Amino acid sequence: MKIRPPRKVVLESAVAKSPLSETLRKNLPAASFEIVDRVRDVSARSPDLLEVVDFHGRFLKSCPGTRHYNCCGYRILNLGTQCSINCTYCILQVYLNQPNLRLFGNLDGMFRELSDFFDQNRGCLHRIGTGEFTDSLLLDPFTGITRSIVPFFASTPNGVLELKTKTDSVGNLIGLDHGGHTIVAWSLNPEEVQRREEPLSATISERLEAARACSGEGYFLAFHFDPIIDYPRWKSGYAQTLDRLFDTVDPARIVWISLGALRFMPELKTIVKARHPASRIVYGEFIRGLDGKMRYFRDIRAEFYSFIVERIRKVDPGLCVYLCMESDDVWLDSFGFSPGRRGGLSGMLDRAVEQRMGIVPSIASPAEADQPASGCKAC
Amino acid sequence: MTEVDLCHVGLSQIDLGDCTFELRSFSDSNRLADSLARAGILDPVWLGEKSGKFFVVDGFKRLRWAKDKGSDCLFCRIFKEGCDLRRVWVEKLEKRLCEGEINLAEKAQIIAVLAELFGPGEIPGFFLSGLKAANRPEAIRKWLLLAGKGPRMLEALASGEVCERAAMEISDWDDPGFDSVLALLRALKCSASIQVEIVERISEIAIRQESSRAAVLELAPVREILSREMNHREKTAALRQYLAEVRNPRLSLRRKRFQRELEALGLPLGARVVPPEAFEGGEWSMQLSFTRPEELRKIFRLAEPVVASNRLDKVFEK
Repeated sequence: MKIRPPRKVVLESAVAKSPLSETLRKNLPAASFEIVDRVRDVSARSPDLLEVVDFHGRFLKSCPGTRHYNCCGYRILNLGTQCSINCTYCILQVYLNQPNLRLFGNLDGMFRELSDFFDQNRGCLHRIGTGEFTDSLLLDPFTGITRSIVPFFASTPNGVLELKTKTDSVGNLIGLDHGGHTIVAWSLNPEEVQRREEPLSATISERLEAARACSGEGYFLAFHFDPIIDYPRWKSGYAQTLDRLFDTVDPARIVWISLGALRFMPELKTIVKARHPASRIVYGEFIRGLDGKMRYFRDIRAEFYSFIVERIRKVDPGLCVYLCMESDDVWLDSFGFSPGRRGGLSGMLDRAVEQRMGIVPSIASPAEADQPASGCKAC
Repeated sequence: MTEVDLCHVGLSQIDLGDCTFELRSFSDSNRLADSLARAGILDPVWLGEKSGKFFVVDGFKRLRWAKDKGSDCLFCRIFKEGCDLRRVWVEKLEKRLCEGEINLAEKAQIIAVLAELFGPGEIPGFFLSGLKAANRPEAIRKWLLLAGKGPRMLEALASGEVCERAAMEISDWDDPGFDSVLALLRALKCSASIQVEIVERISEIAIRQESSRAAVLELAPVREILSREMNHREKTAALRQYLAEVRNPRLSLRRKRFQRELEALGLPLGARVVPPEAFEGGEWSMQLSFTRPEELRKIFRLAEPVVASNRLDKVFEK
């Protein structure tokens, strides 16, 4: 996958001399750099522009799950916003009101916040990911952020970092001291869907090759069949991708596989029709879900999940497979049980970390033993 | 300001056949005719001067009325020979926007003129806000397509038979589909939101079935519904149901199966199992309808063995 480097970088003066800005200057020799007091809000997208801002909000947030569906209890670490991979279904088209690639330049603040968080919440495991509002590795060849964040997590006894990507930009991960605390995760789809709906992303082969390389470096892996797309040949498409996945990487290195059928805020439909007129994804058989998002009719979703789960079970019955934002009844249809019967979805994922990665948080001092039943103020 | 003059002009000097500046309302309102009959021409009509003759800028209907009435000459506002025709148009449109309600047919024509005068992307915002038109290239493009669709579309817009949102949706339909859907909407006389629903469903079914919109409208069940001896409301309801079933085949099948299972279950009259909307989520309900306490007791008595039996589970099967 060839990632087009930004040709112009606008830096807010507060972060113009930050380590991140210095790295960008070094890794983007052909780009022009401009320093401004504040990056202005704009409505039109500049594809070659990268903004580096002084971020004043919280870097760490809870996954925005809704009460109607089972949420994974994940935490989101925001390093920046927006993505230039331009997938047709991308929710960021609706979710974010600023169109340009943006990084948070004050990474020292982020590390401080993370350190405080782990200091205050030692009693239980924290699964934290950076791929919610941007692709985790899209800009990593230029920012090198993984070279500081991966070793940081290696030093936390109860933290697991998940880097989610549709790229094959894993160069910076090679040779890092990850301590077995980083999961590198890829979103997967059939080749046909990737070509049509994710045309600027790495191909499925490139992603799997990158996964193999990471596995060779001792990283744990995860895969997300999300969004699963309905199309006439979906069964053979997803079966083929699963076969290729298990041909390429050892299932024992995979901590979890998530499944999530395409869902979107209703406003996205108009945007997809206008920006991606060749895409057919918004014409599926959708209903309005309990959270107000459009989702495939439940029988279609259950059929996707049952089919994929069965194929995964044949390869590795012990592999943690979960549904992202689904209700108990769809879980029951697809798995024969609901997360509540296995200690909740969050508990299922924590156990997967414990079993596959061998990370078990332990209460280290009497003071920490006074923390709530979960052993954690944040939970 | 454009150089103008006010004077009397003989009707014989006016070329009534030159309709360059005409914006047709496509409306059969009698308001102007009634006013003319009561009070005659109150404002001067606008003319442009060209080679010693005059063309009409504003006041086509009034001039035709004056001619029919046998008038010899009229008091007119004249744009002098060689004046900038772009400015003439701008002044005419300014006047029209201030005169009050503009129907959708006029709106389409005015946007088409403005696009010609300024370029589609450069229409001044005050014109578009005056017309309540979105200042987006895609919206302007659709209005231009509508303006070019011809009198049948403009008549349907002016009369309100086709609402604005549905018109925008069908503006770029190809001809056979466009003609059919226009005829359909005119026949159904349904509300704006239902028009949009019908139009969107037809488009989406065509995309899902990889066929044309015209082909969807030619499907035998659609033709059968439209040919039924029913009023337009009943036809609309039947068509909406059919299109919903074709658009959402899996959900539709599930609903039909559920209905069959529910009927086979044999719950007493007045008792009904209601699934969640679109079977999404786990909140099912049971509705009981009764008029007297004895009736409720009877429903409970009759329902109890049914609910206790394993036949109930079949209703919940996927």
